[in-house]
Amino acid sequence: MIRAIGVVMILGLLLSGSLLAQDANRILSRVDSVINAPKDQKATMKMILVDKQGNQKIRQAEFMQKGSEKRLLRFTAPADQKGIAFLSLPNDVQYLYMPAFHKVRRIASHVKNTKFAGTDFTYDDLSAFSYSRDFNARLLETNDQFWVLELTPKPGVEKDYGKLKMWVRRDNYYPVKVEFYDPAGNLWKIMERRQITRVGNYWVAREMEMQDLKEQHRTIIQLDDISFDLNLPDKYFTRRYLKRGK
Amino acid sequence: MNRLAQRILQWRAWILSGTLLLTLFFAYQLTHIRVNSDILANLNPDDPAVVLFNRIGETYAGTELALVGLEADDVFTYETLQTIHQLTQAFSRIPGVASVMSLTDILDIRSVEGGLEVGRLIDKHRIPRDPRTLRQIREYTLSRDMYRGRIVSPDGRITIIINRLQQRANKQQVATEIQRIARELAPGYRLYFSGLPMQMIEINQIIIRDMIQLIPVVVIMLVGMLYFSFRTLRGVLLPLTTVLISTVWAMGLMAFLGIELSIISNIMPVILIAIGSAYGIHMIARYKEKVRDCPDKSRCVQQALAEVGVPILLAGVTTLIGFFSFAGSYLTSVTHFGIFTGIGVAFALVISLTVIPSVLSYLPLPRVITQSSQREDHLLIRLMDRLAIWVVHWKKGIVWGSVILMVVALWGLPRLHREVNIMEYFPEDTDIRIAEKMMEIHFGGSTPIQIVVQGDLKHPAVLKEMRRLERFLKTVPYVSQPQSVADLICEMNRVMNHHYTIPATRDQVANLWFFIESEPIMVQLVNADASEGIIQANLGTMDTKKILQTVNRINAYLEHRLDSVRVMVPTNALRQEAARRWIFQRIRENILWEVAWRDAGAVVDTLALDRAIAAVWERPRVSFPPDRLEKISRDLMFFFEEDAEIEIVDSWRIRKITTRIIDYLRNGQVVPQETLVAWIRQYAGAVAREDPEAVTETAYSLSRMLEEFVEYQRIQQAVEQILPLFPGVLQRDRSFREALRDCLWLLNDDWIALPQELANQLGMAGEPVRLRMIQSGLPTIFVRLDQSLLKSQIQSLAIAFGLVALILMFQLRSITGGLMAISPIAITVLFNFALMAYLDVPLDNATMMIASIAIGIGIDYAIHFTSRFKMELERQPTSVEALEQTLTTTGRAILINALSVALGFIILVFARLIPIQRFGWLTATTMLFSAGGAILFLPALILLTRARFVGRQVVHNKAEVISAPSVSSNPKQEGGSS
Repeated sequence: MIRAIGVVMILGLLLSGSLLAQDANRILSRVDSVINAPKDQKATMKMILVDKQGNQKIRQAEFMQKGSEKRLLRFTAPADQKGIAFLSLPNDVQYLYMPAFHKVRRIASHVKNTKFAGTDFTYDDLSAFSYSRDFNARLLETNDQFWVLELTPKPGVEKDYGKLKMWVRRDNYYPVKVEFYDPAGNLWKIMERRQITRVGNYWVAREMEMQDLKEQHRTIIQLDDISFDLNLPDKYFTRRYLKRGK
Repeated sequence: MNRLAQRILQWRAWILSGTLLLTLFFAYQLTHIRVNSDILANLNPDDPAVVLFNRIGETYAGTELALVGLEADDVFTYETLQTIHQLTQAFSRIPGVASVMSLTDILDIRSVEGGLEVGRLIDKHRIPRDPRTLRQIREYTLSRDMYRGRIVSPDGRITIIINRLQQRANKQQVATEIQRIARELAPGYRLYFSGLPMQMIEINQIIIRDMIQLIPVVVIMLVGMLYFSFRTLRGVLLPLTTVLISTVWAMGLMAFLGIELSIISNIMPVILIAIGSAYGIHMIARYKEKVRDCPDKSRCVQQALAEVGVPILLAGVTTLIGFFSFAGSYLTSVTHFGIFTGIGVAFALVISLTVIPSVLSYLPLPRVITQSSQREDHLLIRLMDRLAIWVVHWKKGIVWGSVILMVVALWGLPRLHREVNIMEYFPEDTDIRIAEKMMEIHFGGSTPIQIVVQGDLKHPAVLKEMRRLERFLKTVPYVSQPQSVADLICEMNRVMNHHYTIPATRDQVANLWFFIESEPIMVQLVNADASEGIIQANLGTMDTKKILQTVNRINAYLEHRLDSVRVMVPTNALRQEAARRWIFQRIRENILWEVAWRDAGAVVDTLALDRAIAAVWERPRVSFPPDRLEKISRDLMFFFEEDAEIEIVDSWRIRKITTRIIDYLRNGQVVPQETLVAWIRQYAGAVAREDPEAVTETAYSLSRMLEEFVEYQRIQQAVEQILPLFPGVLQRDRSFREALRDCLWLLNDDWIALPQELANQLGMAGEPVRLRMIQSGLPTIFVRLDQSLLKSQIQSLAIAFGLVALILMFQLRSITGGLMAISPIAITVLFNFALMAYLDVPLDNATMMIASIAIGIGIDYAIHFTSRFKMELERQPTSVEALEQTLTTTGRAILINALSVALGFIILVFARLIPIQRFGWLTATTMLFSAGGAILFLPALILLTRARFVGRQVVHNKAEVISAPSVSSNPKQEGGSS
């Protein structure tokens, strides 16, 4: 896949002599397809939450995803939160399992700007990354390494952000940095993807950091033991499995 | 003194250039003096209560909350909610604002069929227009403790937007921006601004306004007074320059030392200008007297300085003592005020004795006094003459009259009350007070009570103790809206499990905690590692006495009713009567507290209550009403369809197994787990054989569900049984029935946290749980302020009295003389307190200063009077003539000085702070009192007792006294030169 991208890029360079002409929205949809390329994936996740005093909280979870919309997250640490699990299904259907109560509850989160589990990511930030569905893009700048895009919400799309600024790697379409601005134009959050490596056929960022400048709080997510295309069965993404999962 | 005067004149050029340089230096320093508008930064930083208070304020963001209140006819309309939304958005975009909580952006957790909904109370993107929906939102919001009286007033008319500022933000600047935006975006609404950052804006304004407006007034007053006295340019300019220079020096020194100007020290320049001029006036007056005798101006200056130097020094030192006696006050602002005003007085003193003579020696000799002023003087002199005769005639009356007045004053003293609530210092038309009053009426007050809880805050035993304290707090008069992380946990548990209680296990708490951990409210309630948290409540009274009572009541609870070491023991192991009694008593207390805050007058038969609780403890058989069974049956079917670890495919099989389970429940029994396993195997068929683990897991899940049904029903049943013990109003109150359920829920718990002592008695051991609760918050600071107020008052009075008495005894070389000379000022201090007592003026951090200042300044009159009287007694043939001579010269000066100082202080009634206003007029009054004491009471006392310290006294009869006026017809001839 990445080779194909490379070929396109080289062809583009050769044919037009300049990539500036390339439609920003097309770059954005390529970004989406690069991020959401794997059929399914499994990984262990470490979340480091850092507050403004520098206090750290570490959470660990197992993570499974099928397609771009079915996800399961099961916490393994800290001890007193072990076993808590989230299941997200299409159409904003989410389930929560609380092991200490042995209960599954559906969570209807009608507001997506709620932060997810103490992180700096909102449910919206985490819901399948499909920028091109929600945003219009404009190419601000092209340099040796990056396309810099400005993303504004499409009409009718409700976002807490006024605009996003995104740095997209020219070699593999990977978005390495996104700045989130509030509607008044103040920089609010910064997301960075680091340690972008190739695992099998896919590019993946092993570390992702979200920084909330207003709350002076940040979250670092590290991925490990990543594997792709495992043909995860659908039953893993059900209420019953949520409760049973080990 | 003479030699010193000589030296001063020798060095006059050095003195003048040095003064100029110093003034330039301090004036430059003055340009970066800082204003401190944080009233809480004013507290004694060494006091542990203040240390705790400050730490709590920082840790839990309490000092960073800027509140905006918005009043409408009804908050729940489309337009108003839209405005709130716009404000919320706009505030959150201000750099320096960390988070904003408002009706349109506040956490809401509610249970919905089959799950829970986490989100916001009102969806800001879809604020409803339809009146019915709006009414529903209104009803829901006002029914929840989480919102009613916290974010919206119980009548739905006022709502609060809570802005949490970033710790390092410029609070005042951000608060100003919030106010500007609020006024711009919500023009039609009445707005309120509260919280420390908001208060800082106003206090800053007050500090600067008082300085800018009062300094010119006092300067104009001084100029007028000086012109009236001297009628020469130099007579006006020299004393005026003296006080201005000394003010610049004193304040420049403050700036140089990095000491910030704050709410009491800001009146320093006004006071310095008002009292610091006296020294220069004395110097110039004596110089004028001298001019007539000596043609050589340098000699004139030198003589005047030599004569007047000691009395001026003495007067200055006593004043200085008065101000220095405030050092060590609980409010650093008062300490700074005392020290730097004292230093300013010292500067004025030194400048008057060095710079003024130096300047005078350069200036040409003044013209001789004009006729008109002599005529005016004549009037005053005649008045003083009369007074002298009157005093001599009525000396007994004056002394005994004063004694009677003193008795009346003493009688009133116990009525003197103290006022330490800093909020009360602001006039009622300030935003601070308006917001305060609104908060008191609609939100149960804005003075936060904070109880710090230390321990494992995820431990159920700790959280239960917190809930218990909150129940107690609600019963304390004027305390409302207790809130802590325990409430959020209960709220989550209610949504998950339908009862508002702390879950039984730590893991369960941790599960719920996980869910709310990232909510903005959490940082205001608990620290990062959950080892400490706070319980907040509102205190709805401004009355110092009531505040103190509240603090003491809460402290009494924490001391006597909180067992800080607990041992977790299994409930089923508790067979002993003592353990049961302890548990029943706790439940009973909880219930009675729930009764008490709803209906303080309710009478409950506690014995019957105990019996009822004991009956539930025995776990009687549970019976379910039919509708309840139907609901359970639906829940079970849903379980098999969606949740069960094993999937039973056919719906008829699900119905079948459900019916069998329900049959057991109908008889009050839970199906044993083995039976469940057998049934599941039977109905699941092949799937069960493939996945035997799923069978046991499903059976386990089922039995937990069933146990919960039974537990819930057991408590519901108990509620129904106990309910008739309470008044009818409470029986019909849904929230009370729920509260009963939650109080009784303790009987379901498998573990109980017994006090260690009790556990030891019973010989039980288990996991220890430790917790500590300490009261903090503004009320505890008020208590300390109150304690320190009396202490500072006594301490500063003792210092001032002691030192001044010593100085007087030394000056008069007589102990009785010293005591007698101090008596007018002692009476003045007494009258001052009596006046406060009878006029209901409280003792506060400003009025506390009056007595010592009165001593410091007022004693000068006694000093001047006794030294002159002593001198005149030697010169004049009779006492009455001596008194006349004293009163027409020194007496007149005393009166003029007292009037002008009083005038200076009275200007403070135009200050914004109420205590400063009181301080102003009361100090002015004491100036007149002490002048009166010096010229009426003191001579009467000296004459009546024929005290020896003033020298020989000639005894007179009435006839001699009446014939006396002829002597005074030409006083200046004898009294003019000395």
